[in-house]
Formats: sequence, C-alpha cells, structure tokens
Amino acid sequence: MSLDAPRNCPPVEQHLAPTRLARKSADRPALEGPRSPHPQPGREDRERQQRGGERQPQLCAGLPAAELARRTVQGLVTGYRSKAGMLRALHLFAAQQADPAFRKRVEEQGARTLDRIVEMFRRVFAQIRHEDPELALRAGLLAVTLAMRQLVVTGKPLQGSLRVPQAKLESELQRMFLRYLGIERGQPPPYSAALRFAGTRGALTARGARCTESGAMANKGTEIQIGDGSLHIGDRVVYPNQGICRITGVEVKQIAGRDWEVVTLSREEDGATVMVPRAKVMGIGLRKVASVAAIDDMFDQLAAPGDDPQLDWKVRHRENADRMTGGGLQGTLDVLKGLHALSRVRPLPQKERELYDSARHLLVGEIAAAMNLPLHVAEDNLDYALWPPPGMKRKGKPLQPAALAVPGSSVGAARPASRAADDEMDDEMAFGEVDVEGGGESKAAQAADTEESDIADRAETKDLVRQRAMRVTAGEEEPEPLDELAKDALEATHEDAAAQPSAKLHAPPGTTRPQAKRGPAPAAAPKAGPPAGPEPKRADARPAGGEEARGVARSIAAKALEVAAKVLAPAKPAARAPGRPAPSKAKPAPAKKAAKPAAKSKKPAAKKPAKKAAAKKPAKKAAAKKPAGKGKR
Amino acid sequence: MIRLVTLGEFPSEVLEHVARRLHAAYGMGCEIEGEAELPESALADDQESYEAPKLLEEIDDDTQLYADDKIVYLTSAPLTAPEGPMGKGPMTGFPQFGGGRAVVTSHGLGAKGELPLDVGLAKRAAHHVGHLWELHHCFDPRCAMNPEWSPGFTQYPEVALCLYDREKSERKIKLGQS
Repeated sequence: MSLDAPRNCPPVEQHLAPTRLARKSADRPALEGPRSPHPQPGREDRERQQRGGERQPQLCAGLPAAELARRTVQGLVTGYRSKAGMLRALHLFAAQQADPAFRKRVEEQGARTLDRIVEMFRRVFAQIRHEDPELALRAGLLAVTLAMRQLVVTGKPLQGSLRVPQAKLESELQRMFLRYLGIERGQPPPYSAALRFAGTRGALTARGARCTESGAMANKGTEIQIGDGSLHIGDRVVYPNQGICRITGVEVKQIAGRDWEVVTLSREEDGATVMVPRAKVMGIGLRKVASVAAIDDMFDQLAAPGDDPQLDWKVRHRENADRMTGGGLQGTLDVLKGLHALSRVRPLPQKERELYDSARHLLVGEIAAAMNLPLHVAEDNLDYALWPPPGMKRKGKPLQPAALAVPGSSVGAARPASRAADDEMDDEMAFGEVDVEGGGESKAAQAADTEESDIADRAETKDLVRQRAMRVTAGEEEPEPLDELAKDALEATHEDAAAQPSAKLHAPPGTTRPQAKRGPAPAAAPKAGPPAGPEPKRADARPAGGEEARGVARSIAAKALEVAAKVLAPAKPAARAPGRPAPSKAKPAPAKKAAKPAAKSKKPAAKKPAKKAAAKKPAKKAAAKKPAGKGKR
Repeated sequence: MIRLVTLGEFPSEVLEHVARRLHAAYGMGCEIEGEAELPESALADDQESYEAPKLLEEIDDDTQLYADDKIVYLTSAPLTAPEGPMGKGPMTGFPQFGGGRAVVTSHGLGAKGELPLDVGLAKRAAHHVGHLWELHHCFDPRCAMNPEWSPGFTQYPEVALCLYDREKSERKIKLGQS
C-alpha cells in the first residue's frame, strides 16, 4: 500500500484485533509480552536481518559515518513506506489502547530501537562534528521518525507550509540528517572502500566522499567527481533528449569481461534508470539543471520577436538535430522557436511535429525543475511568451497578443497528399537512421548539399517561395500557378507542401483518418500545384453555388494560359515534366508572372528547370524505393 | 474512463454535452460521477478564488482511480495557480500533468467574446484531459490543445484534436489500459 492512496486503507478499528496486530508486527515478542508463551528467541534477529542489514553492527562495521547515516535514513523511510498500512494501524491502535502496560511496551520498543541505532553509530562518533554526538543522533532520528510518522498516521502528504513532495522527501531528510550531525563532508572513506560501496546502487550518495587515505586515487586528494567536477551524486541534471534525471550513484558493472564505472541516473519522469560510462558523462552533454537566471533569460528570448523560419528543410534538419543532440538549453530553445515560427507559415511534417513536441517537453520539464513549478504552470508560462494573451507584459513591456495562427495541419484534415509528401520527405531525410552524432556527414548528405548549392539565385527563389507560401497560407491569396523557377525551386527543396495548404486547411474535422489506416495514397497526386479535386469549402465565407462556376472559369483560364504560353515561349513546355497535370485552380496569371521566366532567361538559372526535370525527378522516384545508393546517413 | 465530478451546480444538459464531447474526442467512456464539496482550505488569499493545485490535493471525494481513469472536477469558481516567470495569465483549469486529476472552471464562459457554457466547458475539459494524457499545447488553432487563451480556442468551438495529438493520446490510452 502506498502513502498516495490512503483511502484504500481499511478502517483499522473494525478488524484488527490486538493479537492480530501483534502477530503482524515485526517485533511480535516484544509487543505480545507475557501473552506469548513461546517467545521464539531467534526470530527477532531474523526479522531484523530481513529488514535490511544496515542496522546490523557487523554489516555496518566498515561504513563511514556519512554512509551509515544515509543508509539509516533510507532504511527508515523505506520501512515506513513499505509498511505504511501496518504502521498506521499500529500507531492508531497503540494510541487508542486502554491498557497502559501495552502502551508502555510500545514506547519501550521504540526506545530499544533507538538505542540499537545509537550503539551502531557509537564507533563513528568521532566523525560527528556536533558537540554532543549522541544527543544529535537521537534528535535527528526523532525528526526523521516524526516526519515519517506524520505521513503514515495521517496518510496524507505534509500539509500547508510543510508540504514536501514525496519523491524528494528521502533525499531531503538524508541531507537534513547529515548536515545536522555535521558529517556530510567529514571523514570520507578511502577510494577503494568507496568503490566497494559503489557495488550497490546509490551507495556513493555521500556527496563529499573525498579520498584522503592510501590508494591510487587517494593521493590526489580530490572528491569523487563526475564529469568535469561540477556534477555530484544527488544532483538533478539534464540528459539530452531524455529530460530531467537525478544522479543516483556510481556503480562498477562488468560488461563484456571488463569492469566499467558507470554513473547511474534516474529519470524523474518515469523512474527509468540510465547508465552512462563515467568517462563519457561530459561527452554526451550531461549538464546541471539551468539556473533561475538562465530560465529568465530564456523567457526574454522567447518573448522577443524571432527571425524568419528556416525554409530549407535540409539546413533546418541538420541544425535542429545538432541542437537537440547537444542538449543545451539554448539549442532546445532555438529548435522550439524555429519550429514554432515555421508552424505559423505552414503545417509541420510529422517528424518535425514530433521534434517540436519533444523540444517543448524538455523545456517544460527544465523550467518546472529549475523554478520548482508544476509542469502545467511551466507550460502555460512558456506559451505566455510564445502566444501572449491580451495584456501580458514582460518586464514592463506589453507583448503583442497572439493572432489567429494558420489553421494548419490535421484537425480532421485531408491527409493523403500531406502524408505522402511527409513520408517521402521522411524517407529522403532518413530520420530514423540518421547518425547525427557521427560528426562527419555522409555521402548522401554531401551529395544533397551539392545538389542544393546548384540552385542558382537561391536567396531570390527562396524569398519568392517564402513570400508566396506566407501569402497563400495566410489566406490572402488563392494558390496560383507558380512560375517555373519557383516551382522547380520548390521541388528541389521539397517545400512543395507550402504551396498546397488549402486542402488541409478547409476540410471539416473528423472527415478523414490517418493514411496508414486508409491504405495506400493515390499514386498520381500532383506535387507542386494545388490539389486537382474540388476544393473543400471554408466554413465562413464562400457561397456554395459559386464553386462550380469558379472551377469552370479556372479551367478555361488555365487552357488560355497554356495556349498563350505556347505562343509566347515555345521553349517553356519542354521544361515541364511530361504528364504533369496543369494546376486545376489556375487563374489567369498576371503579365509579370508570365514574363518572369523570360526575364530570368539570361541568368544561369534559366538552365535549371531542364536540369532538374532531367536529373532531379528520377532521383526522387528512386529515393522512394530506397536503393543502395541512398543508404544510411 | 473519464469521470466528471461537479463542485457546484451545473445544468444536466451541460454535463451531458461535456460527457459526449469528451467521449468523442478521446474515444473512451465518460460518465458523470457525482458531486463533491469545494475544500475551503484551498481558498486563496483573496477569499474568492481557489488555489487549483491545493484544491486537487485537498479535495475530499471517494472516486476511485483505476489504471486509465481520469477525474475531471468541474467548478464555476475562479481558480488561481502559482505565478511563473511570465506572471499570471488566464486560468481555466489545472491538471496534474500526466496524472489522474484535473479541475476545470466554467468561470468567464458565456461572457462577451467567450464561448457558451456548454461548448466552452466541453472544450476546456477536453483540453485539460489532454494534459492528463501528457499532451502539450498545440499550435493548430482548431485543436483542443491550442492554448485556451489563444484566439483559435474560441474561434473554433469544435472539440477535436489534431491528428498528432489524437494519435499520441491513443497511444497513451492504450499504454494506460495495458
């Protein structure tokens, strides 16, 4: 029974008779007293041995004072927690018992337990810096016991100003006990002894276990350090991509015939144990939880207006992967802010949506840990900076209230095209197989970079694409046929999803389901233009009757445009990939749009469409089939 | 199972609407469990609002929580929460993130610029139940996990999750059931 579910504890008075209670008690002979005709002389020792060896003098003989104290507190807390129901019943029963002899025996039993612990500590009294070691020991044990008894008897967490999280109670009681006795940093064990204790999990939780005696490490006169010395056992740290962990100890593990010193961490979110070789602690980016000042600075950055989102998915992916692997607060913040800005321009692909969620989760956890806030409050504050509510101020400056974002991704949205595009993009990105820690780039990545750098006037085309994407997604403009250069730039950078948001935007909720549940996507989905089917209606505006007429007008306009293009620029149709359907929603393009490719024909970029049509397309199709050449990155 | 416990009086049709919308959003059963009392000890210093974390700790009801159960307390009283680095913002509820209980207030609903009581309460409840399933805020304005103070929250009254959040919640629910 856990302390968190006190209501499950049955009412003790109803069915716990004194004899039954005494039978369940660990110190049954002492409680039963004269009632017991057979005191069972070896049983008490056996039971005490089962409760844990830390209280047995012979097993604790070699332990230093700090370790002994830590284990004693740990034993008390564990004992109270594991037998909470029994102890609660016992305390209530003893308090309500009319027989004074019974109550006296209970008190004597408690006193005997305390005496035994004091005797156990007597050999390390010299290591206790308190002027009266025995008094300090008794008072400290009293405090620990009373705290645990409060929890057990009431069955509720400490109330009011005494509220202490259950998970932290043990470590805080240990710290309090050790500091009160004055042995936290005193009289450390030799390094060899420390390693021996480290054989059990969490044995080295005495933070100041220094090496002062003989031994290989003892001559160095340093603390048992983790990493660069800034980390200690008991610290809360941030493990990249894992979240908040607590260092629980240093263990020696035999792996593949070798002894490895590993630092064990306990992930706070779910209690999972993570083991890291001690030599690699700094290499993986383990760091302490950020300070309050760093978090405050982070909120300043969050509330500040951000840069334009990076629209080149390759650059974006590489940068974000590096930032997340690094594990720094700034890197995680940049990932979140960048993807958040991008999400206001276009819907995020699945993998980037996951990355966004992961970055958000890590930041929320760190804010909560650093500022001791509930997770929900931490997340709300994070979003007060990203989406400021009306009237929100940051350091006296009013923040711009959030506007209605792009109704982006997938609330009941039509998924086939986006899913297919995302999957293709994921395949090409090979997210699941990326070795981002490898340092060097793979051949595929280098080839992609070379290919990407071939795009002439990239800044110009990107700017054009970005402006257009933002106009379209903001609903200011209907999708229209892109000029050839922009279209090919879109294909080259896989940003074509930005040009077709309308199918996702306007579908009513709940009309679709995931692609995986629906079967394969239609094979001939057009990639660069708006969807060929009838456009779903926007809920608020357009009258339904006008849609059909509009579609007819568009198709006529598209035909007229095609004929005009043939007349004016006979070389252009050759650049278009054969069989590509003309965008169904084409409307008569302005003259400047039609003239743009011609105007750029003098630049080297004019050769690009032909090159892309010949070289890029087969490569993309081949990438979907994952040939040998497109291996792991 | 999502269990609704009222901390005050609500019209039965409102509760039924909330239960239906929660059932549709998460695909799991939702039932109206009963009533409980607001703990007076959770009153904030202003004696008008309630400290939401304290309220969840000290509330006295006998509703049993099983593996995948979530309890949502509905109240009309204003709530407060600890102040963070950005100051105090609007407070529509407080969930134990990843835990089992949440409190949702109907305070402010029905006013000008706000959703009606039944629709707004259903959307707020769905939002905070999402936090119980460890869903974070979502940038999609039509998703119920969009921040509750953002314009999209009132612009789109449908209680629906975006595809990402729906899949994530389904995974969590399956894990909870197993």
